[in-house]
Amino acid sequence: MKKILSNKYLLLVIRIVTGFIFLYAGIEKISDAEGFARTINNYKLLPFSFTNMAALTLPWIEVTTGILLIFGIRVKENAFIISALLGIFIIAISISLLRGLNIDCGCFGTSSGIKIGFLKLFENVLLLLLGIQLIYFGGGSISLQKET
Amino acid sequence: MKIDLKIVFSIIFISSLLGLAYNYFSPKEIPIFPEEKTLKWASDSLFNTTIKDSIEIKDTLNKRREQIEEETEVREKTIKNEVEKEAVKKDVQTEPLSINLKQAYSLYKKNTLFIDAREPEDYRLAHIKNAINLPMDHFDDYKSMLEKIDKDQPIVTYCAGTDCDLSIVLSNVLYDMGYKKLYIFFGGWNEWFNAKYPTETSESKE
Repeated sequence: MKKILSNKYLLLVIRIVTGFIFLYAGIEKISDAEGFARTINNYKLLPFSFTNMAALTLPWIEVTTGILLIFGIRVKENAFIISALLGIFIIAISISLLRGLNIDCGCFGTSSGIKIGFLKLFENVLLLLLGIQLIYFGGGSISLQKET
Repeated sequence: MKIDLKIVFSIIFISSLLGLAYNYFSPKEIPIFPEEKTLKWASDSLFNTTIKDSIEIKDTLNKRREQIEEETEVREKTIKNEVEKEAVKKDVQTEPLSINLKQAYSLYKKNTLFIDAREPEDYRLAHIKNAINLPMDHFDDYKSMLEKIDKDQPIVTYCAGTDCDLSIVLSNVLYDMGYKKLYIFFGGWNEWFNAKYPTETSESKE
């Protein structure tokens, strides 16, 4: 099992897939920062004053980590960041579902109009598992950075 | 699982700075710290000023009301005048007016003077109750009885019915003599009799 999980080609694929997912999600949010701020506000988890700050910085963190993951630079650190983000998203979605809120996920910007739900939760958990896998085993082959 | 937290934080920090910088130059720039839209309590001073304002408003309203009252007064006066003019017009008839049975009966109930323009024979036989006889054909003989009748008094003239015009002739003569409130009960005796309104004979009256 560990052998399969630590397969360097599998890790490469996971790295690139998660990298592109985050890059795409980040770009979508950057294109409509105001809408994303509203989405964050809909979750009613952050104080109103901080929603814009989060809406401005979060997508760029996603984009940066996405790019770095694709290129295989500092994979473990970036995987840690996306795992932390995914953990936050999972908590946020869970709380909102428990509260019975019917709001936009905002996962891939606001244009998709996808509502939060158990599918979204599952998606995030899956990505989190991949992230953890990357943290444990690194980025696999074809990295710009040598394995330490 | 060696994670360099310094790198983690620097990635986050640099990304955040990038985001803020991008926002700064973006055409769709949003404020980093938005002003919270909270409901503000109205201060008491607001109401104090509104009292002052309301007094002013009251003043203007009062002024306006006075204006309106004046206007309505003027309007009412003109309307009254017009109505009075109309009434005067009605009172001062330019010609004897024709009336139907209903109108005749209502006038009868008001003790209006009825003048029978038919021949004395017909009158003696039967006539509208309390009517006096002034036969048109012998007008000069009976003229003297008109002296007792006030010229402002409304008078209804009638004759046998729609096929006679004695009532019309009589009322025109009376009008020329100065009687102004003249009504012609054109339906005449026949209509009155058919309606079974009060009648009398001269024998019973005398």
